[in-house]
Amino acid sequence: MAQVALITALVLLVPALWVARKATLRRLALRNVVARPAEAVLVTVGTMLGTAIIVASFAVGDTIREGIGGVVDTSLGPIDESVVIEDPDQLLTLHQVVSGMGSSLVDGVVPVLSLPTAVTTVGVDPIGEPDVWIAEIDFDEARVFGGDPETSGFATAGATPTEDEAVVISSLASRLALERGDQIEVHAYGTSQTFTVRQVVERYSAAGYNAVYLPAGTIAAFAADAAATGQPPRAEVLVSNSGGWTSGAGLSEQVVAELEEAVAGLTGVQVEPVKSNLLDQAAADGNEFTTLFNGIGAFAVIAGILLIVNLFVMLAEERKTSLGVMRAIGFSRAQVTKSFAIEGAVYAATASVVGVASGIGIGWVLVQVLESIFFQESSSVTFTYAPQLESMLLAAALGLGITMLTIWATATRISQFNVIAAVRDLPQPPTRRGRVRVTVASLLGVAAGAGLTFLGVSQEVAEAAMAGVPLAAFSMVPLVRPWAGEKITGLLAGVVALTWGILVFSFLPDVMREAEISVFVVQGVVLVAGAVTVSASAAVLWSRAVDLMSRAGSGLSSRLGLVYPLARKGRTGLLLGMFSLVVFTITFLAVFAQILSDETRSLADDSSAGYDIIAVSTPFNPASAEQVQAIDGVDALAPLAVSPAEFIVEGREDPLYWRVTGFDETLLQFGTPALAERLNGYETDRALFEAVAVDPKLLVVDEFFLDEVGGQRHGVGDEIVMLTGEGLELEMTIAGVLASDFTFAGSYASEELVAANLEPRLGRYYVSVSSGDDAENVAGRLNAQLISHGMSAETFDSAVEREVSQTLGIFRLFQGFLSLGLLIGIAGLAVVLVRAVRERRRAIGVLRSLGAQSKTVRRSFLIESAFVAIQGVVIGAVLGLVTAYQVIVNSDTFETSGFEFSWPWLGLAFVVIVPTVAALLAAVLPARRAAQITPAVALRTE
Amino acid sequence: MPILSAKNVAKTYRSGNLEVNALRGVDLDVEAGEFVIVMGPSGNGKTTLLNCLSGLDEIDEGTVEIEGQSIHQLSDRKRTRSRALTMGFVFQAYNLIPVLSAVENAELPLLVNGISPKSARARAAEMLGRVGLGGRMGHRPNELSGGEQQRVTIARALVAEPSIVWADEPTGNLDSETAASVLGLLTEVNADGQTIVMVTHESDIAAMADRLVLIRDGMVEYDGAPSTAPRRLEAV
Repeated sequence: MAQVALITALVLLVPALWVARKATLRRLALRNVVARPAEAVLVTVGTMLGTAIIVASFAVGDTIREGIGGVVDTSLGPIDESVVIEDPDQLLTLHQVVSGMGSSLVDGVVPVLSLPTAVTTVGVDPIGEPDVWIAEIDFDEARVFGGDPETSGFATAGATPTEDEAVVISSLASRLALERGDQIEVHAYGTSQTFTVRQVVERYSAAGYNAVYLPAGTIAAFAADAAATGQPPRAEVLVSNSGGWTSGAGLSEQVVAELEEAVAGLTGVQVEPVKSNLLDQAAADGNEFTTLFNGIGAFAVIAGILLIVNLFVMLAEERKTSLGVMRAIGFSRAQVTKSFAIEGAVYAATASVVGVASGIGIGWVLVQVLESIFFQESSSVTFTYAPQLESMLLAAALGLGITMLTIWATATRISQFNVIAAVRDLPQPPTRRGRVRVTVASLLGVAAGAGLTFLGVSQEVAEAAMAGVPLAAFSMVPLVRPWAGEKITGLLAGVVALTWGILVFSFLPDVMREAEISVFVVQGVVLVAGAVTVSASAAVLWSRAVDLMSRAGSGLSSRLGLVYPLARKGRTGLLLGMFSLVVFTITFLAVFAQILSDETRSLADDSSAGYDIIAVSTPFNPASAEQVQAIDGVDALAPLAVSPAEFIVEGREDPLYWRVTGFDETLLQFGTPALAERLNGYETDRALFEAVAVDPKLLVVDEFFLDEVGGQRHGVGDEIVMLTGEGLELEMTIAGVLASDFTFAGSYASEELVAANLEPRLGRYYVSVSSGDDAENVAGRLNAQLISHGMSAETFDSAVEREVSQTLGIFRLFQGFLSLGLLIGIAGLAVVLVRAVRERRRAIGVLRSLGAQSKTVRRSFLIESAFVAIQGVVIGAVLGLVTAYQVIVNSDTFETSGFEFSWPWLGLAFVVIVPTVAALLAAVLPARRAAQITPAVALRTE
Repeated sequence: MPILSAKNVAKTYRSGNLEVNALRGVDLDVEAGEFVIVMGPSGNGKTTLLNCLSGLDEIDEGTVEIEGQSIHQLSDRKRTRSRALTMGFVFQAYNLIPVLSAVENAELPLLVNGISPKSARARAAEMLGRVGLGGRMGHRPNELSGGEQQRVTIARALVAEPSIVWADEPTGNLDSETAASVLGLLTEVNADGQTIVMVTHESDIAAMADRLVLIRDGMVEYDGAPSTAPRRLEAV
């Protein structure tokens, strides 16, 4: 892809550079560049912004992919497969079997025994971590595992721990502020042991697979002392494939087959291709996020492209007279085109290089924000800024290619101009050839629009369906214009595009049901194009506005401020498009951010069933109900039995896992989780939950139950099949759908069903606090006093807030990135105004000679800037609000959640005030320059 | 009292080390209602004189009084205001605002003077009618011929009823027939009492004026009736 883009860009750039060998053309082009250095810088900077935004978008995408994939570096290293055996006592046997396999595809095998525990510091004010994996592994074997001791993660770990020694990885040491010599207490199976930190090692490679390394026999001792119930330790043999960390994963399929054959004689053995699973997951997660990010970022990128087009259209317009003179004195059309292309190539090539550098800088800033949103020390995912050379080349090539295409297109257009019209800056007289071209292009546009609509509807391609009708409507304009007039046809086409863009979800619900982010991008473009066209066609409205402003006392300034943008429809349209697209998206996101903020409290209420705290302890040492009840401030609790379960999904070979939460009537003593849908026959949520509590055939599911991309959503009344632990099929009916599930219950079923058919993890409770006690304090007490059980308790409010804040953080990141698009809009406006001052120098001189004060001139530029910015902001904000409203009203998701449209006042204030003020600030300098023009000097301007 | 009184006006252009003495001590008085033609070879200071006398450009020495007011002593704001109230301009290159229609261009001086948009529009329309463009009011400059554009310029120059109209080569871009019609228009308004100072290098036009001022090397070489001007000087 990168190569293709690069080649395309070079194909466009090289001819320009090649013809630069033609001395006359080169001299003309380069003289134009150096004659007005300030303007050359403006064009380059504007073009550079467009490229920079593309580069930044790609760089962030790379980083996300690398960050999620980077877990290989921090937690796996050479580990490719894990062969797990149920009985820890059989680990040695398993190790012998795997070692004796003699596969040429395997270059390392090492056994490890591990257990999730809670770890606390020792001393005054101990602190702890509830979910820490301790492990026993032979460090000498671990060092040679994978073939390279230096990259094993154990290179500096020393000897295998003995007696009370513990080797701790750096991330845990950092969280617990541990140093060499400090003591830690490990809690498992209801007992505790104290160890001394001998060494802290980097969380890297295979060493990062677990968190604390302890002497051999420790886990067995814990288990032997155990009186409490809990899951057995994890006994596994880690396998390293031949080749590098990433390339080795490619052998997983074959190695898994060999391993499965080798361990066939042992019972309770499962082979997990941990690395390839992780890489697949990383790729899927990375792609999902980058698709979303690039989709949202596409608006800023489109703004950048519009800026590039605008700049070169203006430049070509400015060069029109001199290029006309060139034609008059005998230069061919091709030579005129080449001359302009050489000049453009100089700007484009410079902008491309500077744009890549700036884009990498902008990307870095974005990644810092991303890191702050997602950063958790316990997380194995870190976002280390990692723009890839290939992506950067692709982004640079895209920027360069778009710029060169624009340059060639505008140059070719100018070369077609009538010589006299070009020299005298007159409108181009219509020609028969021109009319034929327009007619053919329009007919092709109409046909393409019709084709896209047909494709979209028949094949359910949402993007095509969204774009088809508006494309046909806009293409019709040149065909109908001679009869109906320009204003009416433009207005009609704009209204058609607007109506289609807003209501297509209602017109074609089946096609739009699974619409992805790319549809939203197309919708944004369609809506903005429609609104800008309508605005441009509503000249009467603006004349009226000018009259009103005149009456208000700002007559001449406002007239001059409005008359230029209204007269230069194409240029103004591009500027408006830049503003509107970005504001549209920011507003759209602001609505959803506002809804999420508003709904935090109700989301917590919907999930809590009237309880205050969700308390989860480790299943390897679960806290009993009595232990939880004994904590000061705990009034009542509901125990929950949680287990993953397999469900058979129609049309899918493998069953899908989904979490099932078993409950009894104690869950319902203060209320129920809120339902969005109920099976007929149940009058209230309570009635339904009471039925589910005693009927093992009923299930309440969350909204995303068994949801896969492109899969069918489930609703009440659907029959589904659950597999029991023994592999039996249980037919169940979905009786209700949860309004929200921010605490990840997954689905609710009777406790009896879960206990009898699955292997539930215990130690999860909904807790109600005594009246007068603060829920946050009680959660703190639960965590402190039950830390040995790995207790993690938090209020429902906090749990929801945490989840919401991450989502809001992503929204903010997107809005921040889109703000760069606004910056492009502002920069574009500034560039246009600076060039306008030059272009209108003579007109300004005339006005001043007629007695117009300098402040009138200055004010007219400020009004012009504000007019464009405010118009863009209003179009974008209104479209954003209307579209968001449409989505909320028409979306099943929002209907299920019960979310309602909410006015994002703060967000709206931002999108209205910031661009408008920035646009005014951007206009200050050009306006001042315009006001300082001396009439006599300006009148001498050629 | 003359409507315009210029004493010892000097103007020097500087570009790097190069100095050009465009005006070297020009004295000139113009009475109300006069039609003064300024002639001279190209590059000898005609347009500079017009710019300096009208206050469009600064002067280095001397004084220029319009209706008794020394315009170069005024601040930029007051001088601009003075131009709005007392002067009209006709340029060789028309200098109409391209994005405004004929009537919108013509009403500009009235709007500058704070006249209400409605009455400004009515007066501009009336003035365009006077210059024979009653049917072309909604057209933009690029939809008008050169002669029509110059008529719009004249309408714009006259609409605010200025004390003095400055015309810089108003027929320079026009064919002889159109030029004659434009000159006829200017003569007509002069006959109604309008003071006009016009720069031209066309000697035929000089005969139409009350007075001819010949400029050479930035100095007044002749100031008198066109009929008595030396033929040698007139042939510029």
